[in-house]
Amino acid sequence: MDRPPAGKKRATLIERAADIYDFSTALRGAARPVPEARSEPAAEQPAAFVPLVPSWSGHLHPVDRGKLAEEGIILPDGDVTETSEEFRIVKRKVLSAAFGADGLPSARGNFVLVNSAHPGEGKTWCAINLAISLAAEQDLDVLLVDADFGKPAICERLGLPEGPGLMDALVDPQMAIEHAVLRTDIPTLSVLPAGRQVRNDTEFLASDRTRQVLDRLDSCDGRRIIIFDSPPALAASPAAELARHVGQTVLVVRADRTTEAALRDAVNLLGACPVIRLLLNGVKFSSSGRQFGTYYGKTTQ
Amino acid sequence: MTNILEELQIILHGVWQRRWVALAVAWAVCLLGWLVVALIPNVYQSHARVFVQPQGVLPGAGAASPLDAQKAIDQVRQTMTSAAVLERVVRITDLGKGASDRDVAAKAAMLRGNLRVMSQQDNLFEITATSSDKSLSGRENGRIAAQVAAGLIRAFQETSLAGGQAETSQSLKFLDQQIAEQARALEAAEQRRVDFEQRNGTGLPGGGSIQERMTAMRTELAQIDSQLLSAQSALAGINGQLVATAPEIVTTGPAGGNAALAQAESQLAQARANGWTDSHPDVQALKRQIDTLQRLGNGGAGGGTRSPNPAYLSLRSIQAERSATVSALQARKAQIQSDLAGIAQRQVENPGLIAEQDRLNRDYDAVKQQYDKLVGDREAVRLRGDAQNEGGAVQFRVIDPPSISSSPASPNRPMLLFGVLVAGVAAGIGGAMALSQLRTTYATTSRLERATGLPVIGGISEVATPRRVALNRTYARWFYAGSGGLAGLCLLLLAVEFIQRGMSA
Repeated sequence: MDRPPAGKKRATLIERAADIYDFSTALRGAARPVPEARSEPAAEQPAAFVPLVPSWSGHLHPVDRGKLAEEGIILPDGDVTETSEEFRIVKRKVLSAAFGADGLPSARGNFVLVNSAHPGEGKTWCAINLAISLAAEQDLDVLLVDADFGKPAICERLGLPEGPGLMDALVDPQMAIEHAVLRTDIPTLSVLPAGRQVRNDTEFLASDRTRQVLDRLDSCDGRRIIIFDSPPALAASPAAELARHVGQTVLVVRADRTTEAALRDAVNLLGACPVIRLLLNGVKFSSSGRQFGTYYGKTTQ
Repeated sequence: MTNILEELQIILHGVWQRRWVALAVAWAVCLLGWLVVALIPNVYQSHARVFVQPQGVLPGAGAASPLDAQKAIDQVRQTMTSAAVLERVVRITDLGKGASDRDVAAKAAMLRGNLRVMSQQDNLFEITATSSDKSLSGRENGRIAAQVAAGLIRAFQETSLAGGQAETSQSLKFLDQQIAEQARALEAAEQRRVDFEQRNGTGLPGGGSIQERMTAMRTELAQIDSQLLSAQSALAGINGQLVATAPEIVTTGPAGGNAALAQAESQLAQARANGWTDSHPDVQALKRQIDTLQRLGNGGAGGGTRSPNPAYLSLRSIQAERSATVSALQARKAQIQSDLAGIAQRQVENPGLIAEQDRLNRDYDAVKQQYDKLVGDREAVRLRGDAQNEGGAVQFRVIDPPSISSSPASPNRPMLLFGVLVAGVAAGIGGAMALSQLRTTYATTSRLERATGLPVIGGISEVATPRRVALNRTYARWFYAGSGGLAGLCLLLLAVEFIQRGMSA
């Protein structure tokens, strides 16, 4: 039921973008040569990570800082907050599993699935935070993929326009996935929307094409880490399917809410992924007593 | 230590996370508890204290040992709660107004539960009467309770007085009956003994067993033997003396014979003169005398007259007496010997004789003792009964008259209401704690890691976004409103209770 409005919205956004930037001709012209343009620099400078120009073409979409602040998400150019510090620690662990000692991706380790057992445990929030935190890295290109086909939320949360996305590329073999990637005004952060909603999303994900599409997402000149925000493992099947394609999974556990049984079930479903690690979200209790009792107080700095 | 503290903090945290559950449980428990408290009927009490001395001051009849005193106190208490007393209470109070016999019995049974008699000190009893009739007002209930307490005192007094008198007369009757029985038994025992004596005892004088009698006979025999010996020796002495004494002595008087002859002849002549014939006995006797005197006169030629010796005669009389004594003693000895022989022969013939006599005697003695004791008892009972009639079986004094209170003694509703609140809160906290223990969740990364065994890459503190802060604030407001509402409801109920009390008082 979301499809007609999404399509309508897409049309208006393109129109609006064309009106504002008057890039309709450039957009139309750049649409075809992208694969070549992307592959050429990769061939010339295979190990050069210095230029931090993302390989995606297209507009730079501004990320809505107000919405980020509203959600309590790390601001890319904001002050150091408790959350940003905590995600710094987390991203170190993610990176250590993503890339080997030689700096190269290890067994699809740079495909990170962010998942949780049930909805509302902070998957998307953690995925966005992780992506923004990783985007601050000096030599890393971050692609945030909204793989929650049922309830895509990333674009809305970041204030990005909805558009064709991953599912469109999976459904339509003619479509170039690269065109769906949205660049943001955070230079190293790009976003791939979920795309159209189809009934048999799991089957599309299980198809051989998925691997090709994901391979194309990874093929770039620099180090790239791709973060998937997936539907809850115990609520929708695509999560389990996605786990086959990623090298590591960050399973978000909501403090004081996620039960042991749900967690065990989710871990079992995601068993296809070689590395499953947990991230405790929404911690209200610190054994040092730092926050205990000040729950209703304002803790943001 | 730190670990324990941390665990404790985590448990508290878990409870706090489930505070809504706790609140819901607390509400449910409190509402239910308050409903139950509201349904408990009011109980109105009346206290009275009485002093009861169970027995008179008669020595020996009163409570002597502590055990007896305890028994007496128990008896008083049981009497106070006996069916008869309770029925009397029902009849003399408003409870029995227009009630049939069956109703009275039912109400008496109900009263048993509503009355409590406690002995405070030795003879001090506290009577607590309760009344909890829902159809009556507090004032009426209080009045009924006081009536019941007063009625109990009165009924007990009446019952114990009548009971004491009846008891005395009954005891006397019983004792009399017993005494009569014992008297009959005594008579029978006596009769048996007499029969036995008649059959075997040979009617000897004196009492005692056959053995004793035989011993007595033997002693007597020995005495008689010695008496006989002395009597025989005395006879022998007399006999010796008699031999040595001449039976006659010769007197040489002048005409002893002639004078006598002449006198006799003159007498004969006088008789003849009187006209008596020779056939007259006196004439004949005179003739024989003369004849004899003539022959004597003719025989004793000139030698004087012979006369009997008086000493000899007296000796002869003593001898006769002594020989009579000897023969009497011999006869007695022979009799005793024959008696002894007879008894011995009967013993030989019937060996159980002595045993039978012993038994008879024993029976008789036992019956006699019993009889004597019963007679003594009867006298004691009569004396005690007289004393009781004088001063009453129990001394009875009311120390505190029954109190009237129009405010309920129980339940302590304010306390219960508050207790229910505390219990509800405790149940809520307990329920939340149980839930947090049953449904394991994770509060810290270390716990998560320990529980699952999976690597944990970090913990993200909850971010207080404005929206969430506002939401939390709203929730907090609701929560505090809910908690406050619970406490407020409790206060409201307390206030209602106190107002009700104030109105009924």
